[in-house]
Amino acid sequence: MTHDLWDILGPAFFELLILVGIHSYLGLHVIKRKVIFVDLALAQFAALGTTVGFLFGIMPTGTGAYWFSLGFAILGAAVFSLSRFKNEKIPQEAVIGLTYALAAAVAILVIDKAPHGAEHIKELLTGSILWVKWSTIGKAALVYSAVGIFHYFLRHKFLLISENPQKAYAQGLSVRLWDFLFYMSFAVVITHSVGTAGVLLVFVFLVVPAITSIMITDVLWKQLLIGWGMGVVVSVAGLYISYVYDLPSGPAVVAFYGLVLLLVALVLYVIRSAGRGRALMNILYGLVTLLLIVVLFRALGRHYQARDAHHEHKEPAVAEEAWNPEEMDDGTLREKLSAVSDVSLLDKLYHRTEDAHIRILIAGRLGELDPHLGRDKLEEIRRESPYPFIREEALEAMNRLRK
Amino acid sequence: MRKPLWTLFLSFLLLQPAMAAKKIYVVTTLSTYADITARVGGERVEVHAIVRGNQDAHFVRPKPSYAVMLQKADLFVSTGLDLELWAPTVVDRAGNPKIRSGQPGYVAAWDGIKLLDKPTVLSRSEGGLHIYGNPHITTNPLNLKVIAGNIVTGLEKIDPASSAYYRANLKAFRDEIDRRVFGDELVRLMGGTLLTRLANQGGLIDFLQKKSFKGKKMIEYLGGWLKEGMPFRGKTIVAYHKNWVYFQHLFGLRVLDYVEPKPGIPPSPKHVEELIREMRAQKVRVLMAANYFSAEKVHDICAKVGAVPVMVPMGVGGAGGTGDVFSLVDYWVSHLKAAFETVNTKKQESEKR
Repeated sequence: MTHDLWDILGPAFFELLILVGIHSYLGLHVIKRKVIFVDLALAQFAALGTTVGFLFGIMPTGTGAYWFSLGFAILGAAVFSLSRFKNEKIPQEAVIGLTYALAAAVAILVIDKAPHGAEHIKELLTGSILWVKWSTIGKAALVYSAVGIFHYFLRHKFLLISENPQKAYAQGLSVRLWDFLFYMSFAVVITHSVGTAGVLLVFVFLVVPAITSIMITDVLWKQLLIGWGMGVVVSVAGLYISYVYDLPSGPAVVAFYGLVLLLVALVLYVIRSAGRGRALMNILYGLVTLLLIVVLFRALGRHYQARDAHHEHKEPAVAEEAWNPEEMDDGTLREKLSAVSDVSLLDKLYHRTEDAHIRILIAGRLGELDPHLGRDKLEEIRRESPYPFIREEALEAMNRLRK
Repeated sequence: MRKPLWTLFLSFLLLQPAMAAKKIYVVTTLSTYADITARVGGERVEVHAIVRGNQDAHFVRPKPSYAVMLQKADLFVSTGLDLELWAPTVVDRAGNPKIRSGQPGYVAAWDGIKLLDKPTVLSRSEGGLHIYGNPHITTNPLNLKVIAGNIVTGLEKIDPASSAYYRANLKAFRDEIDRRVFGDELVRLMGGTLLTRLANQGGLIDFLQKKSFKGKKMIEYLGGWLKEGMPFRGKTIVAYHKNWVYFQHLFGLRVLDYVEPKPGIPPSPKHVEELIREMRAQKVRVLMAANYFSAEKVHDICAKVGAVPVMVPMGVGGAGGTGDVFSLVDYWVSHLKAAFETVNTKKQESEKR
């Protein structure tokens, strides 16, 4: 790796490692609790916080913005811990989805009042992992470690509620309080990670390693190891791909995550099914179908492309003025003029322009062919131009003719 | 005693809407166009702009208020190129046939300006490509004279009776621009038309250096923004987006590369790496960007190569002290000049050590 490459990708690489560490773990909880979109909603709350801070003139990258978004995210955590009901008629996922939509809508309404609104919203989505600073990474490492330790000591309670909430209720635990603590720690993590990595990347970091590892094993420590391993490999590879093929980093890592998940799922499907040959055939059918769909869309695209090209506005060809002295510099104009020996053409050119400087040049050439006519024109300019420099030039041209 | 007062009040009520109705209601896309319109239209127009000076004119989220403004509009001024891509939608929504493209109430600001950067290959894969040429025409103050002329033509169509008034304002505006660009002395000697033509052709400085008047080289008579910009003439900068081509053309500034690899597409790691390497190799120490781009990214790149960021508003009112077109250009020129001065002092300091 060259020095420059390290300069640019180094911070992003470490940031990804740190993100993988905490998100793979939290993702397991999220999947088990069936609250997949909680991170999106919390992230959106955090983003809303940043946005509201922005309205007060706080730049989205400063410490002030951090506290704003953290505050809002904790508010969101409170909402989620309150929205869990023992006998749920309304799934919690509905509440979470709704919260997300509301927070997003309010963020757009708020940002509309601030300049650069659109850019800011876009940035929240894709993040700017490429631009993360070492100091930010250091802070993140501290915060995430604290959350990690917090979870390590309280792991039994959190895991119990995640895996078997009915049992937790039966034990007389205050599920709501523990939920709030869980979501609050989650909010702390999300607030930081959304700021640097963006909503998309954070979502994928949470969900993909968790799904993959849960597909493979039921043992927690194995799940964790698989999640971390996968996260590291995918992040590094995704970042490298984004570098080699010159793609935006965040989305490249996201897309690569998706691809790896698909591959793992396919491999598991083949390994676990009773008849492997049959499974392979199914995959083959799937591939063929996919290929057909691709070909179909391609043909469709080509068709419309050809049609639109037909309709495309064509600029009328500019009629080439053989002679427009106003578009030439002095040297070219002199050269062109010296090739003309038709007095009437020169006279026409003279009257076509109002630019006194060009008139002097034309009159000068005219004077070479017909001294009398040229001198008359120069004299006219010298008398009538309001500009001293032009008058002087006309006089000089007259003197040149005299010689 | 009571009656006259009462009638006076009533007559005010009746007169006021009548007086207000006489004003031409103009809506412009850019705040810069609004300022120009206010200058040439004087007290006979009421102007509203849609895009604020610190917003990206490419991406404005259409709001109901725009449609309401356009509904009332007698005249609508937009660049007319693919800068304000949202404009046709908003105009359609407003349902005001007077201001549709091609109608008397529509002014295309670019008309008569020689466009730069005309594309040779037409493909959307080249990013936010401008098929007609670069639409950021307001960055060259000389273009503002043409734009003002187009706006006056539009005003005359609606209010032919005031033609002389608008023409007088237009002349005053053009004179002022000439004097600000070239300096009073040079305009007096040579006239704005010739100076503008030479500057647009790119040969003005050469011309001034070759010619002399009363024993002094013409270049010594140069004043205004061009004089102020002499310290950075011929110098190289890096820009964020292709906003500045017309400005560069006037001030003889070169651009090594853009932070955006293609217009409108965010930078990828490889591109940033190359950019930084290039900036180091070529010793480019100034990065210029419109102030709606991410300050963080600009400062980050600058920090890596020890460059000075110049973040300026694109339009009138986009930062403190850019309340009109003149102070806006002042702001661009003085900030760029200051950046090059900082670079020079830095260089001298490091040489001393």
